[in-house]
Amino acid sequence: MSSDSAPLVVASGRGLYCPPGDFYIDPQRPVQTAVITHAHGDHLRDGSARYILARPGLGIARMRLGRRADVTAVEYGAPVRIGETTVSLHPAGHILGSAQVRIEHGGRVWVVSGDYKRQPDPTCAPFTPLECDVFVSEATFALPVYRWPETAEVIEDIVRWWRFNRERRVASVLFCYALGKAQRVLAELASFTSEPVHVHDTVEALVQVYREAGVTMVPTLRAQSTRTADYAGALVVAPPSTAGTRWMQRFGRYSSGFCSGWMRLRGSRRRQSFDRGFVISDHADWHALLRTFRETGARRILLHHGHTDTLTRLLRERGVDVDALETAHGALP
Amino acid sequence: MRRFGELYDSLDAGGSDDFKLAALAAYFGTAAAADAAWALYVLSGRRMRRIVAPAVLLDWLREESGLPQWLIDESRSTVGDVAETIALLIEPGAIDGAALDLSLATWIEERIAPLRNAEEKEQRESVVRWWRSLPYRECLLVNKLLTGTFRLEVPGFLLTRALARALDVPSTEIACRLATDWQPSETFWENLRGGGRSGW
Repeated sequence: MSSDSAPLVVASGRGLYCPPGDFYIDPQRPVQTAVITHAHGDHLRDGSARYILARPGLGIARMRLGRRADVTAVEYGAPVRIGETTVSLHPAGHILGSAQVRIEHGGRVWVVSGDYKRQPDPTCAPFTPLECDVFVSEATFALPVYRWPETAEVIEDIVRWWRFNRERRVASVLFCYALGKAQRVLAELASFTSEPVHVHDTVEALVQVYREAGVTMVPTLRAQSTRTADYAGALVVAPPSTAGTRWMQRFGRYSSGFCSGWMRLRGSRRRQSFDRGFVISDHADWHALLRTFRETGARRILLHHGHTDTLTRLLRERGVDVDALETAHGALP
Repeated sequence: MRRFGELYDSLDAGGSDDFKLAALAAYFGTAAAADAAWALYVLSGRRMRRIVAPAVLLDWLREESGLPQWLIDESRSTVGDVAETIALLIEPGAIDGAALDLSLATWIEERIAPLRNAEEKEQRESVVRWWRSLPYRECLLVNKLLTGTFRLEVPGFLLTRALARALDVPSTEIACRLATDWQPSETFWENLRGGGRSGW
């Protein structure tokens, strides 16, 4: 394979790897140089010698990695030389500080999307489509049945559910991923109410980081009280990992809701033990994926993570050069 | 239909009986008589007559959406239900707020039931118009009513308790009256609410 056509990103046992830059993107094991798309636990792992990430994500990364980690925070769009490549990070719209990785080498441009969405989100910079030769995209929700409703409609629905429970003097416990989803919901709620929302400590720690980054959210209170009466009619935001644990006992009778893109399907809603499922996702839905591919102008699409088979088949039928990344070049150890 | 849709959201998840009971009681306590009667009819698992076969709806979906058959099949396999698959796949148009606000009884009696004797062309025009003018939840419900596949069966004890709470009638009395062969109507509901005997 000539250097002109050699891939700029390959799948490896440690995650996505850029051979000419000799760096990994969101490595799953410790490496020398890690470029990080965002700070969710399955993308940012400790132990690497050096981290490069977008500046708005620095506060979260410091929380996760500690003060001693070697972290370089770069502004969105600012070029950085890594090995033989020029790398820049660009908003992905997934969570605060999330980034696409643009890699330029030998006159070619590859973009690795990381996790991304196209819906407006008051807690982070919006996804920026980047022109490129090859676009490496996530495909978490790559089935046409995944079409997200307008966020405002879902938040209105959450508020209606909360008010219904309030009339019954029952707490409403809304389960959201502690990083990103919880803050997005708290920020969206600010358009409907200025009432304080009780939050789990894990959520509150990240809320503080978001507030320091200038994100406006409803007032929050740490849900430390163990008196059930303190939560009668209140809204509580907690991570899904607390569901069914002793921590929940403080709420007495409560109604539960879960915010996730997976709640789009009735089967998923019925399999979970929540009273309500609210369709809010920080990933691109099917239609946003297709729109994004068009906007990048990429001549080749590589997919990873999710329903890659379905999307690959459809794009090929439409004449698009597409592959699953894991199979496109073989996986390195 | 919107109010019934909100109730449906509260019942169609794997959550607690306490929440479902509260939602049912709130609905039955405030819904118009004809709507309450129809809601009770479908939620108690009584069969609706099929107006259009699910396979016919899928044919219309394929022609309207332009999606390849394999992608519809794959979506259906993931979702597991024709009515929901269509509600998820159809490209939504401008929401018809007036249609959305029509009552459950009006939808069933004046829109869906009359289609049974209509020509397929007329059926298709109406159904596709509804698909494009209703949001996901109400589109799903209309499809379920059209195909007679409304199988969100609420446990009898929950319905009885909710009715007892909403109507302030002893649950033993409610259970006894529901055991008869009743048809959904305003008269039925008024009798259930008032405890009268006429019409039973």
